[in-house]
Amino acid sequence: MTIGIKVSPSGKDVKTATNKELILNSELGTIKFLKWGTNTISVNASSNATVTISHDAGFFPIPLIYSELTPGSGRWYAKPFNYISTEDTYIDGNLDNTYANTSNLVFKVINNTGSSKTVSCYYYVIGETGK
Amino acid sequence: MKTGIKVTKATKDISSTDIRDFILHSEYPMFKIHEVSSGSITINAGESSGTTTINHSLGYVPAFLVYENNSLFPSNIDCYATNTGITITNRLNEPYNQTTYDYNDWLYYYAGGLPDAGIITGNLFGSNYDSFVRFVGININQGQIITSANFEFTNVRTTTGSDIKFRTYGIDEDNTADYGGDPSGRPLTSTYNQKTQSPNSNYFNFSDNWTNQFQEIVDRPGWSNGNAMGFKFQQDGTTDNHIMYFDKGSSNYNLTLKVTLPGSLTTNYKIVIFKDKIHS
Repeated sequence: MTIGIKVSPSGKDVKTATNKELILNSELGTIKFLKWGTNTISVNASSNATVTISHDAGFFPIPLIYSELTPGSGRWYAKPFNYISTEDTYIDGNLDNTYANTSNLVFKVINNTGSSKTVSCYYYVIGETGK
Repeated sequence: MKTGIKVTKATKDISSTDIRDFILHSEYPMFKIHEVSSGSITINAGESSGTTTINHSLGYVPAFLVYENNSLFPSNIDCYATNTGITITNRLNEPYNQTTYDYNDWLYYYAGGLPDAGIITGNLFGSNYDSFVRFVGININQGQIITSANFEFTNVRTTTGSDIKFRTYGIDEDNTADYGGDPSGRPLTSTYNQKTQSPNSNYFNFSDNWTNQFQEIVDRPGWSNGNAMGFKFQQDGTTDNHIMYFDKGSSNYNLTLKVTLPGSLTTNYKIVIFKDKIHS
């Protein structure tokens, strides 16, 4: 007999609920944050800055980065890995500069404007294998 | 003593130090779903981007995911969250259902000679000047309905003091040959634009809507996909010594025809909005 745990939502029979309906199923992985938090990067005019966040997962995790490309705009991009004409900075989409390896999450912020920028980011390092 | 809760995957040891072995671990938070929404973006022919916003009521900036056709954050979109909604923008590399043709042949003509100047149309020293432009490889089937055909001639200018008056015609032929000879006798479309260009000695981009002329040509029974098409600037009442022209000896000009077919592109999105706050 397989031993495990299933948790269904209120009103759903745990014995008949589908995987899509279950809140937890010990046969399936879940999205847990190994590391998360904010980061503020100062980038000089017409320059770039590389951010390195240590996670020490020991495997290639799944990263998520949200960034406020224009300081104070209130717009937090989830996929800012390309230049967006309405924003004045962006995160480099070159995989040599923006990546996760077994110990770090690395990304480069490029500032193409003539003034320095302070870019805010919120990152998640998800504790499941991404590679 | 530190307290908490851990639940492992089936067959995994509770003492494991590998986060992947757990389905629940009180030291590692998980996303909590606020709502799963749907949205769509429609880009009309001739346009190259579209935007949609899905509102949320969280009052702060949440984490979120966006899927397009089962692809997470595909490269053609950018998307952001604010404290009121998730905005997705779909950007195409080229306007949808629109083809731009660069000119293949341009010739100005007037009875009596061809002086070396880039005269588009007008009147100079008592002579009327007309000009012709030709586009090749037009990828339109016979009788196919188009939405628009817009012509642009970049970096032109005019003499000062008086309007330049002219008409723009299509060449009413199935497959217009190049203008190697005297093209003044080429048949013209019944549709034309009556134009009055105000004087402007600064460089500007001249544009004209040639949809009707274009449609008249592709509606010809003998038109075939891939044929060449011509148009004519014909002087029509400009007073003496007033012309529209360009720097023929330079390379800073271009003649293009943007042809747009009917239709629209709709893309559908699934948006997962989490309770998890990334910013106030």
